[in-house]
Amino acid sequence: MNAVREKWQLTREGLDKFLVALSPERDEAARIYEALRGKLISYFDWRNCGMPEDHADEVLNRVIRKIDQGEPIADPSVYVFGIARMVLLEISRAAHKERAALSELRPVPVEADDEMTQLRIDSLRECLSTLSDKDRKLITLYYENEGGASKILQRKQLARSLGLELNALRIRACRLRERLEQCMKRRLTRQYS
Amino acid sequence: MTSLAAEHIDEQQIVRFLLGELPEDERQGVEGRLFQDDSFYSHVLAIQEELADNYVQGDLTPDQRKQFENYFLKSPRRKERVDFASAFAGALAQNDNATSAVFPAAESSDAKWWSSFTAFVPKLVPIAAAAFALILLVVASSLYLQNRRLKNDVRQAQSDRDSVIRRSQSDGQTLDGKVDQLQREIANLRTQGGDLEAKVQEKQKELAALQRSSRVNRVQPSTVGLANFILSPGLKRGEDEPEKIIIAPDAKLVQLQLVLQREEKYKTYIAEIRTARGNLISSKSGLTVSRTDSGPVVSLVVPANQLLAGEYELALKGADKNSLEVVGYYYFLALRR
Repeated sequence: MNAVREKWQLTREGLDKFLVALSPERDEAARIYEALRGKLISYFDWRNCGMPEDHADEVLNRVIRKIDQGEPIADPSVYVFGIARMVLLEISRAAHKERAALSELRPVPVEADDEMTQLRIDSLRECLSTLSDKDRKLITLYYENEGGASKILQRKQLARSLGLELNALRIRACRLRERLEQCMKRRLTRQYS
Repeated sequence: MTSLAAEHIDEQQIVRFLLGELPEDERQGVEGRLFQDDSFYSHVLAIQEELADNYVQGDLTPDQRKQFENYFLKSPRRKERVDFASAFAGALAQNDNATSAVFPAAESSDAKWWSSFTAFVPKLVPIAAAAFALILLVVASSLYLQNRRLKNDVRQAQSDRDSVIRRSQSDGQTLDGKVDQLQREIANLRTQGGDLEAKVQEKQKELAALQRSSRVNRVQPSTVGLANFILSPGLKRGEDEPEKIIIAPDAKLVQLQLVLQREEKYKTYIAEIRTARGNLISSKSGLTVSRTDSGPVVSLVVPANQLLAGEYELALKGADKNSLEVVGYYYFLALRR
């Protein structure tokens, strides 16, 4: 990665200091760390940077180095965002110099892979069957729609029937969907390993 | 991680953000909020999924579709979202078909009966068929009248149940009497006809939920001010409602016992409690499983003053050296006496 210019290496002590800065509780700190890394990956991905995971790790390494060097950090999430912006700037400059502008990334063609799609569908159906009845009902009703305005209306009605706000229902459905995706990936990995 | 209140979610702005249509300063504003507001980030991810759904289902406008293909699909990660959306739509569609096949609707048994009847009729002489039809009409009319009466009874019982639930929020002592009353009404309905059996069963489920609520309500603050509640994963109470927990004013601590759906392999667990808007209000780590009559249970204690009246989502995650995985979501509605 071009943005990586420092020779500083991540140390166990530095990582420990960073985790303590995130939370005095180790497990909670680990959770926050993972959440921050996920946001960084999304950040670079939404900026159309290739290898967003590498950039996310670079940001975290820099933050850890700062903490290891004794720099006080009041709000780690704000600080991380600041470093992420700097790394993004560096990536843009480097890309410009190398005439490999970010805009040259080409859209990934959506190709129909019937066999793979069917494998995913089969795995997802199995995963759906592992959900509790209520969760399965919720996700089915949430995504069941006829498209257009009726979709919004249906979801509002579902939210009302559950005594939820639409946004809360959306997050709940999205989390169930994430669980299903994790489950699908595990099953597909097992099938191909 | 700080979690600011997600008072306002501008969905159109997020869609434009995801399609790369926001001006740079506005874009940076969205990005800054992503890092500071967990709930907002969750919404952006959810809207990203819905955008992929809309693309797969052809629900985007022509301009959005063009922008989606020129911008959104630049990233292999986001292309994965489209692949998943496509598989997900297929799985739901096939799941519906499978569900219909496994659980035929009530109408289909009626249809089967009717087709048998129509197959049988041509074998009868016309007069016998007419007589049979007349008898059928009389019986059907009688059944219809009986059904109407029973439906009124069910409606009345449901009304009673609803009033029980309402009153239970202000006075838990009345629950036992109302539970008895509901049980008597259900017994009466049972003796009056089998065609409303499904409704009776539905009411029984609700009654069970009410009884559970009643049990929970009785486990109220002792001398140490600890209120104890048992929660099951998913939405359990009645049809679609979260569990209701009623916290007395003098409760200092609330113990939540989370029943696991199955045996899990994790050594420790993390429990995160969020409001309905997704704001994190409590996070407990290092939790362990204990065996109870209800099965494996993870318990945690939170200060009662953290649980204001309102709906909450509790995410229970299993933790080991290499992974952190959600093992269940628990939903409850905190009520204050």
